[in-house]
This record gives sequence, structure tokens and C-alpha cells, in this order.
Amino acid sequence: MSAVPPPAMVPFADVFQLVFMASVRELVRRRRLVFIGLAGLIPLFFTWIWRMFGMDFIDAESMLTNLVSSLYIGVLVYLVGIAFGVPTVHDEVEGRTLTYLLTRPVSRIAVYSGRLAAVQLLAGVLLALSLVACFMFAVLGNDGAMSLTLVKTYVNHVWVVLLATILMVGLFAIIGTLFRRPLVWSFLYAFAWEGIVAKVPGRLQTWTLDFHLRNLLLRDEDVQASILEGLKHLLVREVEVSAWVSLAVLLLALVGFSVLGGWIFARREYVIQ
Amino acid sequence: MSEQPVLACDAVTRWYGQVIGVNGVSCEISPGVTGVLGLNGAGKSTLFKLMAGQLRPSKGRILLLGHDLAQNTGLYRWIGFCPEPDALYESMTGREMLVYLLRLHGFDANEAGRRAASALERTHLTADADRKVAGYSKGMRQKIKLAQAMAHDPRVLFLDEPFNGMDPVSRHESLALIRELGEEGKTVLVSSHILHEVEQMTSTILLIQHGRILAEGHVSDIRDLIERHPHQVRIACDSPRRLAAVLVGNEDVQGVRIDSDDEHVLAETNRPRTFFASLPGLALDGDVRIRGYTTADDDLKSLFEYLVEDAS
Repeated sequence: MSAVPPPAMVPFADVFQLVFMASVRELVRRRRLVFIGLAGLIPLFFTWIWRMFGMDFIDAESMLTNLVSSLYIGVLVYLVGIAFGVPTVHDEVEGRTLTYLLTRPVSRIAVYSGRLAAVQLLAGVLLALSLVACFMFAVLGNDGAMSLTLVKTYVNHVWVVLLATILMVGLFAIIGTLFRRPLVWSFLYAFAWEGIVAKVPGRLQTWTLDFHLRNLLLRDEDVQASILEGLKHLLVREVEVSAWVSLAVLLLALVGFSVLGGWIFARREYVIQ
Repeated sequence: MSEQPVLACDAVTRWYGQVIGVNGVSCEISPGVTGVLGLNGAGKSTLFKLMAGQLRPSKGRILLLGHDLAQNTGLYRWIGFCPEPDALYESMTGREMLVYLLRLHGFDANEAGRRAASALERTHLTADADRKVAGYSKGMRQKIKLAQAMAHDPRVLFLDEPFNGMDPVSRHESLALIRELGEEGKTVLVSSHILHEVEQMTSTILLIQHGRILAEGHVSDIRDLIERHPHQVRIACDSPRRLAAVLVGNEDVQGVRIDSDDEHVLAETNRPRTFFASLPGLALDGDVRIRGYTTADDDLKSLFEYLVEDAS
């Protein structure tokens, strides 16, 4: 006897939209967001310090460049990436609610993409708002003076930080999808691989995302860059890679992380106890 | 032409590393309620997860209306799954959770709202529908799990221990609901480790032990086996010695002893149904106040031991 034809799955776009909206609502309601939001205030604190004590020594452009290079690219994008990225799937597994999603007629890739897009959006908004606040604070400290260089530097920094954030969220989402103890692996990656290898002289550093992100940061030779970067310049010979190559590497990584995460999620068997 | 079973398992085996979860299970499930009965850790949940496509068999295959679930995700339109873990979307209200999951079945917002309201009504949750799930009692949490499994009107329902933690009223309501679903022509598989609970919903049962199907068929066959097999009842009362004295003279009782805690009587009977019917009268005769009794788990455990011995 021939079987009744099986019904079709729910369209990808519908599932993506539903999961995206539900994930945004769920994330906004979480207390965790407040704590992560506090991390976004750290740069504001440093801007305040600059306004109080450093305005005579460092101009607004240099201060913003230092802040972005040392604090945002060096620390915050990893912390926010881990805080938002790791739970993308891991929260549903730990909370054992994943079963509800996996017993619906939906594409797993659509579920993954919807959740990932939601966490990327919120993480990006959080760091972008933090940067806007720092910029406003820096401009006010600059007696309201806003030079073209300052605006150009700021716009460049905003998009590099946004790219870094969504990239890291995508990467840590994979780690959250793959491992039972994703935080250990995430911190190892962030602060051992990226944190150390990116500072090793020679071509090895080009294998880190940190290298390519910094390579995209606008640096006027006359503007003092990160203090750490400045020291590095004095000590080691810089590897020259074009900004376009770095951009291509990062965009490729962004697409690659999203595809790989969805692929792993679609094929992995989750034993929910 | 033979009628196709709704669900067919063909020599399904599932390993978890070195541990076997389900071992060579073959069965065919037809419409109506089927009780899957087994002690804790017998393999009921693993079997349900395999049947619902949440786990892949290490060997064998499972067909739902002739289709392999792993190859046709669209088949989930026909499946409702109520998982055992007490896990829900805590930040949502009951209604929000149902609407969200219904929309993932492809229903538009209006239809999802209508179906959610109907499922909430059938599970007696309408009054609490707009409260956060995080504030639900254990019984209400079980009911909302049941509601999400049936809201999209599936053809096959897998209900894994749906009565755990329910109060007697909720249990009664849910038993009636599951009976109704079976009468509507749906194929409902309910797992439990309590025989009399399953008996109230169906006469078709499947006994599972150590990942294997030990027996399947009509509940009366199982009852006969139980009645041929000594059946131990542990009774809590205010005066174990007086109750033991009354029980000794009863023809349904094969043996009596007082438990080591001096608060319970352990009675052995071959005719549990008549024994339970006469127990209130016996307590009255002996002027004993009975606080409660337990039988189900021990009862089932001894039955399984008996069946395993019989098979060997």
C-alpha cells in the first residue's frame, strides 16, 4: 500500500522571522541583558576619565582610537560575543526547550539563522549605543568641536566594531553549538589564540581575526593609535596586508561561521535528558 | 490489502556509547491509545524520542505512515510530542508559548490564536493562559506541555510521563482528555510506570523492560499475570498490629507482616482487586485509620521480574 504523501515544511522565511522575533523578545526580557549592558558602560567610564584628566595630553580622535583598539576590539567584542553568541543554541539545550523547536515541521537551519540574527542584532546595538555615547561624551569634552577627521574616525570605528561583534557572535555560537562546556573553549579562543597569537611577530598573526579587524581601523599617521599598538610598532616589523584583503577575510569568515553553525545544528543529534 | 500501521518499528536498537537504550524493538501501533509501561529507566523515553525522530536508531528503522521521519521533517505536522523534562519557555505566558509553537506549524496569527485558545480550554488552563509560565504549578506545567502537543491537531501524539507531578483533579482531567483524543481516532502513545493510570485510558499496552518489549496486548492479560503473581501492598495506618490481625483472617490475603518502621503493614495478595475493595471494611472492623497505601511501582517491578523469569 502506498503511503500518504508527506506534508511540506513551513517556509524558511516564515520560520526565520518567527524565531527571530521570539528570540529578540526573549533576550530583551532577560536580566542577563542588563549585566551585559553594564559592560557597554565601561568605555564611557574611560571617556569620563579622559575628560577629567587627559584632555590636555590626548585629543578626542586619539582617545577614541585608543578606546576602540584597546577596549572594544581587544576585550569587549569578545565578552559580548561570548555572552550573546554561546547561548544561541546552548540556552535551548541547557533549558531543554530545544525539543519544542525540533518537533516542528521547520528547517533547523532556519531556526539557527533566526536565533543567530537576533543575538547579532542585539549585541551589535548594545556596542553601537555604547560607542555613540562615548562619541557624544568625547565631543562634549571637545567643547562641542567636531572635526571631519573625528567624524571619519568615528564612522570607521563604528562599522569595524559592528563587524567584529557580529563576527564574534557567529563564531561563539558555533562553539556553543558544538561543545558541552562552551565557555571554557570560548575564553581559550578569545584570550589565548586571539589575545596572544595576534601579538606574535611574523605572519602567524594574520591567522587571527584580531589582526584583520585592527587592519581595518582608520589610522592617520599623525594620529596617535593605541598605546599598545604604538609600542608594538617600535618593537616589531609590521606585516603588511591590504585593508581590502582583511575585509574579504572577515566577510568570508562571517559567512563561513553562519553556514557552518547552521550546518552543525542541522546535523547534530541532541540528547535532551 | 492489509492496513498500514500508523507507526512501525522494525528491530530498532539504540546505543548510548556502551549502554544500550533500546534493544531490537519491533512493534506496530494503530489508532487509539497505547500505554507504554515500564519502570523508571526501562527505555520508555528513549523509545519515544526514537519514534518522534529526536534520536536516530543505531540499527533498524521507524516508519510513520510509511515515511521515514528523518528524511521528511514535514511529517512533524502530524506529530505532537509532550516531552518528559519539566522544561518550558519561562519568560512567555502560556498563551504566548502555544501561539509561538503553533505558528511554527505554519498557522497564521489568527488561526494560531484560535487553536491556542481551544487547547487551553481543553486542558483547563484558560484562566491562567495569560500568566507567565514561570509561575505555573507543576500540574499546570504538565498541562501546558500537553496543550502544545495537541494544539495543532496531530495524527500521532507521544506523551512521555504526562501525569508526573499532577494533583488528582488534574490527573483525572488529563486522563479523560487522552481517552477523548484516542476516541477521536488519533494514535496516542502514553508512557507511564503506573499500571492503574494506564488502565484508565486504554486496554492496549506495551510492556518495556531493559530496552526490550517484554509483552504487548490487552491489559486484561497483564492483569491476569498480576493476579497469578503475589502482589505486595504497603499500608500506612495508625495501628499496624490491629490491621495485621484483621488481615490475617481474610481469604484474599496470603501473608501479612509489620514493616520494620512499625508504621506500615505489608500484605501479600493474589487477588488485588477484591482485596482493595474489601480493605475499607476491614479497616472499619479493626477500628484502624488508614493513611494511605502504595503498590504500583513494587507491583510493576515484581510483575517484570516475574515475566523475565517466565521468559527465561
